[in-house]
Amino acid sequence: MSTPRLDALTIACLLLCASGSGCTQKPELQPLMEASLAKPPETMTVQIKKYQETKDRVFKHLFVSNFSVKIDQTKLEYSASRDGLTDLQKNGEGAPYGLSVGFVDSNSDGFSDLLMYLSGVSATNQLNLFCGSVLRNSSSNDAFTYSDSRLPGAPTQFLGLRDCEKTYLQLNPESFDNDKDGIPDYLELRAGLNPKNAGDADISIAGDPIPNIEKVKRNIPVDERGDSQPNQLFSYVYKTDFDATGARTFTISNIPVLNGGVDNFIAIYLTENEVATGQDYLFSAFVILKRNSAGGTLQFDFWGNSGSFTNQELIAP
Amino acid sequence: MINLRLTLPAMLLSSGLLLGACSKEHLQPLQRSSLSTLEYATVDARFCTSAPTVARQKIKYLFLLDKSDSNQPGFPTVSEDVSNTDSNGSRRYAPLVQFLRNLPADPAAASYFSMINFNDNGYYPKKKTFIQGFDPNEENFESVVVAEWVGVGTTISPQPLDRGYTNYVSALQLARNLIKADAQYEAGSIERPIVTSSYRIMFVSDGMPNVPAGRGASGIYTQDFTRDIEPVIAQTLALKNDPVLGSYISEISLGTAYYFTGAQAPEAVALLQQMADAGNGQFMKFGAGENVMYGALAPPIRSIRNQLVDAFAENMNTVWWDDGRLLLDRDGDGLPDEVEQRSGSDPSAEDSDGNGVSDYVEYRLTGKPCQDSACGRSARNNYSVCDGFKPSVEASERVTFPDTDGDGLNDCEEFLLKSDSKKFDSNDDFIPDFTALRNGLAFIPGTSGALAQPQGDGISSYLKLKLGLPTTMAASKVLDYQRRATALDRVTADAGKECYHLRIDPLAVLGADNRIRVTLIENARVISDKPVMRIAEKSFAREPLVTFSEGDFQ
Repeated sequence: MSTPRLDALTIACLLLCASGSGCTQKPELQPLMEASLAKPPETMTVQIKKYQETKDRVFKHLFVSNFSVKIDQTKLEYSASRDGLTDLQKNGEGAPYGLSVGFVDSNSDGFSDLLMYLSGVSATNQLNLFCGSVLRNSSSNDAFTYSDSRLPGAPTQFLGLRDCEKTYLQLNPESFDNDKDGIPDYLELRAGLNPKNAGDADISIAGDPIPNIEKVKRNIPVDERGDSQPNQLFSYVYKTDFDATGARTFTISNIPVLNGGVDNFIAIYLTENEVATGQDYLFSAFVILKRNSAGGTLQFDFWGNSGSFTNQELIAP
Repeated sequence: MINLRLTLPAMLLSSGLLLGACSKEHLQPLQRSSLSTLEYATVDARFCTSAPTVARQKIKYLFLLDKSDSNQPGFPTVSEDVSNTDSNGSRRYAPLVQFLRNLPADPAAASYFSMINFNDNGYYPKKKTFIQGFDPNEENFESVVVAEWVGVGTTISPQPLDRGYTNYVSALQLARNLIKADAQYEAGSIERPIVTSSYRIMFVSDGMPNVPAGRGASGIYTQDFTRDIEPVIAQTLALKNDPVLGSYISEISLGTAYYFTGAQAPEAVALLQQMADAGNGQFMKFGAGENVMYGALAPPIRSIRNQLVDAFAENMNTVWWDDGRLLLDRDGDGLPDEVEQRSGSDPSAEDSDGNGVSDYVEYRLTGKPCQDSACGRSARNNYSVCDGFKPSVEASERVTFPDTDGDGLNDCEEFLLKSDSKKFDSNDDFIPDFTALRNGLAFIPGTSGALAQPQGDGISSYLKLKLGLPTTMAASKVLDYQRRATALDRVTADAGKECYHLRIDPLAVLGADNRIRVTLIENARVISDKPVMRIAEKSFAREPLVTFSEGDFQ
């Protein structure tokens, strides 16, 4: 004869096994990372309010990036020139290319240090390159130009791709995203992706489920897994809220800053796609952070509503 | 009240079974594999990206310079014409001399030079040091440029006769003939291994291609891009695809430059831009006071960094078959043993009937691995359409075809499958062709779909490949199978290389001698978009850890 106790045991076991826990699941043991001692960085938050899609267009992507900071070998490194090369890189590997810390284009020839470094053109070979006055601008308006008050004489700095650089890269100067993969050409170069390859945005070099384009948004290296401890610490967090009118507020938090934030350069790229033509449009803006910005939140209204689309400097209130 | 009313023996039996099921040993997979039990390996690979290297090739510069009289003092004859764009040659010839002098030292004598002038027609310079096509001696060539510059460069009536026309087509035809003759000369040389030549044509002009109107007509005819110019450029670039000469040509590009004084002519800018686009080259324009920069047209020596684009780990001896089971495939041809046995082919031979087309490709093309039901030689399909792919035939009548791109599908198979035999990744999605074929993904040029989710399970086919899941069924239907996790960490960087530690775990294996393959795909960081593939293979020998190091990758 059966006893209720045995019945209960059976049911308990049945439940236990049916749930699957303890039977087949392997505990998710993560190996200790080399950089398990990475210190949480100082961060800040940017809020872009009152964004409304332009008529006949849909919102496509938002990229926010602190150009003054780059992750290198699981550490945050400072880039005084804000051009995608850290001061360490410029002093170290950058030597044969004649790169100087603090300058976007050390020899002022119109070809940026980043491009010379990536394409391996030595300082002497750079003499053969020439950027004419016609091609020194940016036809697609995807560059930031600003006068850098930290340098003697506050020269104009150019963060982006000049027409001659795009020509050199065999890209169409009129377009800010030549392979139409969603990532603007300049951000692709900075991230180590190829602006001529349409396939490299949605795959994951590191093989994890975070595609490259997401890593570009989070500002973590595309060739490292996103779940390593430093990369989790350094990942930007994007949040979108809608209000009753359909206007959006983008909140980008956990933006790592160095030196307490002072002189950190926050670049913002927002793209829209015109439904009828498939054409992409760019809205870009930048903020140069002031002293003690770390830990704070900066709020701006979307700059595109006032008619200025690109290279808009946002002044922290 | 709950009363299950089971008898004691039944109760004990059921509870015992269930309790037993809780321990791992008794949990049998649902016979994914009909032949052996699923085991798991861990792939641990350490490697660096390839060093930035400058490939050894001959660089052949061909300068096509406008020498019509619009450059000359005394021009224009018509008042609204732009006059005197380069009366003393300092905008065209001086920077060319400077370019030659600035060229980096070339101990391997890999740089060659040639020049064509054009006005009414294209013609070679009066002083011509190059006999067969191009001159390897930079100083000799410089003397040609200087002679052009100082001599006829400043005279008003140069020879041959210059009536002020600008014949683009004639100049381009001459360039085509020159390159063809040079490639034929290279093809006749006994230099081995073959050193390929990269031809860089630099076309410099200050105006539109106006020539005298043809027979019977009077006035001026302007050469049309589509009708007159593009065909010549296409013929020139097509030399690269010539069955014989193509092996000696790595690249032909046509860069163009427009120089002007005062206002630029929009139609000339548009035309030269079109020509550069058609010629795989760059277009540059130089306004008043700016000299033509040849260096800007031919980027100087560079060593482009390589980036890792993707890494795949595969077990070459397991196949997710069409019915959703993971099956053993001893010969690694992509057709599981079970299917091979059923259809009469040899599970231990990739190409059972020896016709040069593997069992799997034949199966995909025709529904059976061999035309002959017993896979005999006599009734096999000899695929005579592939005779042009240089098959080698052994005494036993076994045919093998070369695999130009090294992707595991030979040239004949790629022809039959309509993929590109010269690209390991025919559709540019970074998934090598054979990997795509084995996993039921598109690989024919122009097709895509790796990022789609055909099963609607939220996991793209690309990600399934990374997770080791079948692409042909929903992930939720794959039971008792451990998904892979890929962890890539950057280790160090030195001398233009990035080094990585890749760990993929767990990777399913069926048996002790499974070959584990790791495929690395690299691409140039900037400028060129030419992915390269490196492969390493190791056998799984019941040691759970399969390690790869830099030297294993070919």
